[in-house]
Amino acid sequence: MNILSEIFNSEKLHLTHSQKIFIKETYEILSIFKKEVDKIFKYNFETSILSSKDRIKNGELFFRKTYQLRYPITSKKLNQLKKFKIFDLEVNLKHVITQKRNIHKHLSTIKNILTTL
Amino acid sequence: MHLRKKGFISKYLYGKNVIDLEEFVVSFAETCNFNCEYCYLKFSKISTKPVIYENIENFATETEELFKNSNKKVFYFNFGETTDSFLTKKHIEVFSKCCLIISQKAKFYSKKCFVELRTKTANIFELQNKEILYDNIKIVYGVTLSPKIIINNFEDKTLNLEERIRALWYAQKIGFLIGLRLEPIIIYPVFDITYQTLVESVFNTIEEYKKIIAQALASIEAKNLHSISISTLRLTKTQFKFLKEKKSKLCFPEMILCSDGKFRYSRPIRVTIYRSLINFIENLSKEFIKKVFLSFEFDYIWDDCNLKIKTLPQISTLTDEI
Repeated sequence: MNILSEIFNSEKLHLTHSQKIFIKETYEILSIFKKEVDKIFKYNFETSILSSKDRIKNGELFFRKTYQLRYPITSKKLNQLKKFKIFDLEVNLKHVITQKRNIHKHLSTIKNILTTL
Repeated sequence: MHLRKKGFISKYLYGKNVIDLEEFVVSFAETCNFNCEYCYLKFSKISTKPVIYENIENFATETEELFKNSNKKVFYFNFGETTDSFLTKKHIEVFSKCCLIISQKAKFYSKKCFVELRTKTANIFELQNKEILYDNIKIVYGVTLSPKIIINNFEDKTLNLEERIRALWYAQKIGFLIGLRLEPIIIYPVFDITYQTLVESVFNTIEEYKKIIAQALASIEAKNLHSISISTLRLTKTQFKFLKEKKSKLCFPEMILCSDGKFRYSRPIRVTIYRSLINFIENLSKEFIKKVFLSFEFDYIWDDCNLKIKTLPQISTLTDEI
């Protein structure tokens, strides 16, 4: 758990309270299945803080890496689905209509991504 | 002597958005002492020691009310939700009396009834031939089937797989229908935490379950098969938190909180498991597939598996007329 306090107290990385809860829970769950979780978290932390000087961006990057560790299958699905832009919240109405068409057009592909390993 | 103050019969509460299988739970007893690691009963507001309720005159009244106030012709009662139906001789004695009541009331109101007795014991061998068989109700002997490795790690006080299958064979011999309960399907062992190893762990689990399906179906006659339920592990929030602190291997990394407030494996994992097992069963016999249902799942999961939504009374009517 030392690595967690190092991450949470770091000045080079910012995490919200709920992100910290998620990271702590992920650490606990993954350590049931793998003893070297400390090393993985440390590596992800170090690569995240080296990525930029912006502590918010570093925090987001570290959180994303932790999410991928906790949900490797789901995060892979989300990456595959990104090209359909169904998770883009900053779209105008016109874009939404286009999206809807695209979603309809690619519905079976989306369903396939969602339901296969 | 314990008296039940709440009702004996309750409509099963499946949770938000979960498909309703239209079964009624009969709480004639509560708790069991097997201490299976995934069991939710430990976290329910019920007695910690096994209790059997003997004021079954209340059960008779409730059954009458139920039949009187419903237009339904077929009823499905589950006697194995709040306890192991065959836990002790006393359990057998009380549910036998309940079956007699159901039979009498059903005859009066012209209803067909199916009674599921679910167990992980071998106590069915204590049951005398035809002791609880009546002409207007059918008994469904429901057995939880899990691979040896799951039994050894998470259900260690229960009967081993071979004996459970032997009990199935005996149950059909004395005239019961058979309900194969492949639930909870637990992904174990988990080889590692990377994408590829998790996928390997899932496929390894699927293969284990295929073996036990083949083994169980080989031991019974097709006409005696009532249903096959499939469902992956689900944990309440409290359970998940408790098991995580206990460092239980049940807390799989890919468990997601669903809209009914329970943690389940993520959708692609669940669908892959269900589809694989459904295809396997279908390849064994097209007839079997009509009797397969998903327990505690959402409509979109049934849809993903190309499975037509059906209730337990509907499945029951597929078996021989009673």
